[in-house]
Amino acid sequence: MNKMIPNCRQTQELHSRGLDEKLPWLQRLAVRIHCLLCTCCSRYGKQLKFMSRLCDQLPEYGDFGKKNPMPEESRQRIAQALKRGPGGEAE
Amino acid sequence: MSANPESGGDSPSNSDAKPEAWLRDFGDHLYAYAMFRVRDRQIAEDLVQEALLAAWKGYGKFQGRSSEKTWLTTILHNKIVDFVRKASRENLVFTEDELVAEKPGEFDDEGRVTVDHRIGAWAMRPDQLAHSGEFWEVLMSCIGKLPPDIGEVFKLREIDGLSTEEICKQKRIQKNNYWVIMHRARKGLRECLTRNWFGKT
Repeated sequence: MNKMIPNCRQTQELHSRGLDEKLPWLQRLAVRIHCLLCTCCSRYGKQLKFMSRLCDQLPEYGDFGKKNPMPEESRQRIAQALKRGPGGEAE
Repeated sequence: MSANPESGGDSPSNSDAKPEAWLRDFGDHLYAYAMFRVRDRQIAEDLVQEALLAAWKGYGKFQGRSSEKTWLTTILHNKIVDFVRKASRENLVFTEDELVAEKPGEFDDEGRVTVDHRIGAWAMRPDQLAHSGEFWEVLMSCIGKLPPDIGEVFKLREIDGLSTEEICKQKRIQKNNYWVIMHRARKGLRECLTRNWFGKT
């Protein structure tokens, strides 16, 4: 491809970087042109964006407790703390 | 209209809160999420306790727009983010091997993806995934398979939502290295998810 247009290796790096900061417009344009011509990199970019969105939703939808339950001692200590009330005062 | 919307009218007051029930019903979930982020039992316990107390105190602000579980998880999430922001700075050191993102033969001499390493389509249906418990377990386990320090930088960015600048300062890494780390992490995670979820037929 033309020297102005990044190759697949560079495009994948730029896809990742684009999720952390806004790329200069010329670079963004170059990535877009590459992706118009390359299904792989176009998919790669979309999948990275999708992954980022999933990570954002992980705390909300993930059910973490099934495999690593809270140890009983921790549960008891927290229950004690809760008996003291929301500000830590005795009820 | 009540002068104080947090204590009057139909809003719940903190005497309506059920902290013991939260601990019973969501304790495991909250604790495991804290462990996933901080990997230390004592800190995880403290964070869960702080979150439950904060939730109790702020129960008047709970509008019921989300489930209690989601609401509690958000409070815990915020406590975790405060904690990782304040955590002492450390020097993360990466070996060159750790930072190699690509597999041998993935690209040709001109940097083009080779036939054997073409990228397949994913069925991206967020609504279906949201309620598939199995999917979130795969996602967590794939994040867990990243090399620990790379996984930590990734989580700070993608789970906790810290900025690039904050992360570089906190972990004393150069921006150039940061780009490589994130590229490596995302590439690894993408492959793991393809293998274990999206690429399965």
